[in-house]
Amino acid sequence: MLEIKNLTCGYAGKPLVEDVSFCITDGEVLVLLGPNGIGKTTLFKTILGLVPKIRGDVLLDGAPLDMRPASSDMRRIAYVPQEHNSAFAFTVTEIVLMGRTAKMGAFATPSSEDRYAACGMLRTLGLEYLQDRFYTEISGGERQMVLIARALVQDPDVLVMDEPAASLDLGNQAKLLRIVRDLSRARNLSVLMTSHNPDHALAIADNVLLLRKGGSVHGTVADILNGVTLSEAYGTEIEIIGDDVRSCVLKV
Amino acid sequence: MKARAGRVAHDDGGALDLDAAMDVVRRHYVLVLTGLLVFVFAVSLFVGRYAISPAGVVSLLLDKLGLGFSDAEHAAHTAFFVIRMPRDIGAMIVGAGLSCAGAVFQGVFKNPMSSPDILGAATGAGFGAAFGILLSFSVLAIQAMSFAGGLLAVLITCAVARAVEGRNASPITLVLVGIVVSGVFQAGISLTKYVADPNSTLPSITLWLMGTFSGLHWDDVGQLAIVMTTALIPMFLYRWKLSVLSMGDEEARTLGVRVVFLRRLMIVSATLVTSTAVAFCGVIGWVGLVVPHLARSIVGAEYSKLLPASALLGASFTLVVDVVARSLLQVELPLGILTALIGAPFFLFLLKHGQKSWA
Repeated sequence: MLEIKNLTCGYAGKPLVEDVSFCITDGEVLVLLGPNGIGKTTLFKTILGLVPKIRGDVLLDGAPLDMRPASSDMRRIAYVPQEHNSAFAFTVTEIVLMGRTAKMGAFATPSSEDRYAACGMLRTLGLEYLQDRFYTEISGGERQMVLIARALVQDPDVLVMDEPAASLDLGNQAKLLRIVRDLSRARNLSVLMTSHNPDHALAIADNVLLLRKGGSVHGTVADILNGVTLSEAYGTEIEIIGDDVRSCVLKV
Repeated sequence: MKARAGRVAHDDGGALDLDAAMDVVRRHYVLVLTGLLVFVFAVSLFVGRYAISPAGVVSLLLDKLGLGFSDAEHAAHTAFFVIRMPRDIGAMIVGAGLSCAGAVFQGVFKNPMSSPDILGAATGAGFGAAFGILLSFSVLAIQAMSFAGGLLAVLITCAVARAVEGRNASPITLVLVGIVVSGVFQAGISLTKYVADPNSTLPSITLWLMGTFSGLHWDDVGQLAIVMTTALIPMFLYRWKLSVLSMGDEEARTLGVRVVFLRRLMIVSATLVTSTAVAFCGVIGWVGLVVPHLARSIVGAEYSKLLPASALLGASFTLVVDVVARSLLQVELPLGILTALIGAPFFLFLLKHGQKSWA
């Protein structure tokens, strides 16, 4: 369980996100929503230890998180960056093996056990057909899946995902969201995921954290996501339609 | 590998054989590249101003081991053991060092166009040497000044980057500041050349800036070997983490790499390699840029394979260039001219036929 208490974060001592509190229980998917520039990225980078926090606490299973690089706590939090291209042509297997780095000795290279884990993870996610391909030559959706495989071989308790569906087409968005939800249930993973699209939260989130000017709100999808809160947060008229499958519509 | 096979398949039938051959090379790259190096070294031993036949080489070697009959002439003995052997070994060490440093810097700065002198090490070292020559210092003092110049330039680069962006300056800031610092030291070199005596010191400075292995003796080779090995050890120890680091700072950190520490260590190591190379052999461009790409096209991007491949290929490449430099014309050609003449078209060839992923 990841618990955030009165966290204030920002760059160079200037607070951008102030006094945020929420927790993610095991097996829970939390979607972080909010307009551009409100500090979604800063908030999760602070949780990942990439940006030093200004005030407040981050607790993992009740104990303060040791945010020093390569600490045993940080190994339990895996990061899935937004799909990107690498400057060098690593193979997909090599990229996934990088997820095992924290488990290796200082001067070690991947062992046969690491290779076994990487191949197993690619198989689990149905990506074994990619294993000898170059990461630079596969599609964006495939790259995003490979990055998820890399995070999962780290054997984490918490998965932090930055806009995982942002660059994907609708079919791949659905596939990705389904996989995230199933992984969270099957492995009892806490997932913190940012998104620009409230539909993603409506589709798979257990809880939502909505960052907006004048304080953030945290709660269940049903409580937080409605036309009023969304319209206010994004500064434009938004309506949620549908009963069983809900979706938000922009009124332009 | 499937991806490669697919790319070559649309060529003619001969390309498939080439691909099968490349696959063998890829699988046994250490063996193949070591074989290549041994072959190049063996050939290099009897090519040069003083031609020695293969039989002559063998009899000289047996002689040295106290097994042969000492009928070899004294000149041959000198040409072989005092001049050629240390020169060849020195060239291999420098080539291996510069290539590894280049491969490491390309990963550390996530920039395929990086070379070992990107932070100003080579220009700084060149300025140190030029200034030493201008003041007619001894060879040892010139080497020391060159080494100090290289270190100074990189220190200035890091200090300025830190002043601009704070403690953990980003790679791109370092590279940009490196270009500025190189520019300033380049101006220093120009000034030194401008005031140098065109009849005595200017030619020496010019020659130094174009690089040569002709002055290497056994003492130099010993020192080169010690410094280069020391600098290469951290690179080889952290070979896997270098691969991870080349994915970007934030990712590397979340994957469990101590990014700041590793980058500092690699900058120190690569600077040591570059400054030492310039101090002993002058400025030798292109090797550190071209060879890592050649190695990557054979063994892939992963550093635990890339570093040994770069070292072996770099040693062969530099030795070949040196053999050409000393045997192509009546006068010995400066290395810098040849590395550029051979390296540039070669690099373009790799650009066309190598990975498609270069940013």
